[in-house]
Amino acid sequence: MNRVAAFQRFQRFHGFHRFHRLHKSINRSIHTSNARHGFLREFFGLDSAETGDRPTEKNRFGMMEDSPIPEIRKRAEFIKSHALCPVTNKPIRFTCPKSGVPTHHDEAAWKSDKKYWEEQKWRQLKESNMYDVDLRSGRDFPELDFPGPTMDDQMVNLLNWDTYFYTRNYTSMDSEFQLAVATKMLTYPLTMAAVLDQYSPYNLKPRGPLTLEGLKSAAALRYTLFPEKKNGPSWQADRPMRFFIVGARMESQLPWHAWCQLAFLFPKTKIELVFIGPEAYWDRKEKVYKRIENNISERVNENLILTYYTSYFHTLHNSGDFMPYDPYLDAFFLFHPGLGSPESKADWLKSVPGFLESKCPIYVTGFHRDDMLQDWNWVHDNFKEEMDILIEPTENAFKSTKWEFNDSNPQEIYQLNQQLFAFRGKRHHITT
Amino acid sequence: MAKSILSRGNKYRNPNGTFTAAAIRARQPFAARNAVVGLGLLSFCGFCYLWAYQSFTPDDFGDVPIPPLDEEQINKLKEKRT
Repeated sequence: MNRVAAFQRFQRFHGFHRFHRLHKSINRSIHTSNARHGFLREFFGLDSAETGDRPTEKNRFGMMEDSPIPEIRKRAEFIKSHALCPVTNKPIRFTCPKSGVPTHHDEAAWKSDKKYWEEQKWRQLKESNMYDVDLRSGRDFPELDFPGPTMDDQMVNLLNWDTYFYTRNYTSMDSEFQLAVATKMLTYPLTMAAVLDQYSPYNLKPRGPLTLEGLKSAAALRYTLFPEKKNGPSWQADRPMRFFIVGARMESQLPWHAWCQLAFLFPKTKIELVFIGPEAYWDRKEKVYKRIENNISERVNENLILTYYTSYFHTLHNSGDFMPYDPYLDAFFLFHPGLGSPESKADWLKSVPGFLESKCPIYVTGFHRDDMLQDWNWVHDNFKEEMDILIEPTENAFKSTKWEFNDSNPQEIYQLNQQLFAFRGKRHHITT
Repeated sequence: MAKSILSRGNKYRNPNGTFTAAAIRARQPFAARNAVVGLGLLSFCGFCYLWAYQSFTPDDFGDVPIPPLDEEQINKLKEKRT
């Protein structure tokens, strides 16, 4: 599969520009129902909370090709014209009635596909299909109504999505449809917050994936993020913390208020998010990725700055734009970079030495287990001697719960930021 | 629809006052430990109350010897009372 082309198609269909529109159309009208209920029924909690257009399997599930939404019909056509059946290797003509997604050449191939039935792929395809319909259904999206700054005495629990939403007082997300909408948007900032926070869900080995070296790196960052003095400034006042998001694509489309949720979790520290890569700058008015001459900085609020560079990391690193690096202030985040994928290997080979040289932690996510292992193996093949492992491959606690599938191979099913690992340039101890 | 007191201004309660599914999921990882701690506290308090009750029930002083009084002293005491 051509990773770049696949991702471009993915963005056209799933991009965050859709969320911008949704967020504007949020109707804050409070649910008003005129129905009168019996006092006793209500007292014993026998009535469920009924709202007008609640997404359910019944009203969201349908065959992709018969969908009333033109975008989804087009997508079904694209699958039929580009994807190949995994059993017969012929073009796809048959739509799986269980998932509603075109998956095989004919019914015989569909029935005989052992892997499909053993791994129950149709369940995830079905969910993916329903979530896409739900996003285009035009219902109210109260789950995109994000909370404001964290109060001083408010403890946020970052164990998983449910505890995070509960302790930050988001709207109550009772169905997986609502979770899919909110987690897809918040997976980038929360994946970052979960590794950085002092109550991180990743435990030290052997109880979790975090190695001792990983704890050292995280401790250095936490020293800056959570200053000892209650209300005083952090030890550093001369510059904000920098989190480099290298190879940014979807992340750069993410609206400001989603990144604010990251800053709200670290209210005492100034944070600068640096987006680097050819697709790092998304022009919000023209809705295209733009190349820019110099960097652009946007100040969101007192604590958060977003900076964009559209050159490759290695050119900026070699010209010394980001010097000096400081492991107490800087970290790298690569969201599904495809380090080991054939299309982008060569560019990463130039950039990764720069990451390692900085001695700052590098956190990498992957779409699914195989995608992440490809990157993991590539890093080991090329830089085994020069790096320490910080987090061993693990499932990300803050992955997007929305299932997605690849248009040119519907059986390749994934979630954004599903897997996570981390490494760092080795520090050589001087011994006498 | 009339709202229960419990659900007023609380996003994680249904209009009838019960917990929403999201609230139940968020509390689930802590539910077992919290139940054990809660039961422990409750049984400790209950034990204290029971022990106090049984230890302060009126004692029987029947076996305490009382020195005998003669008529005069009894009359004096009675006068004081009235």
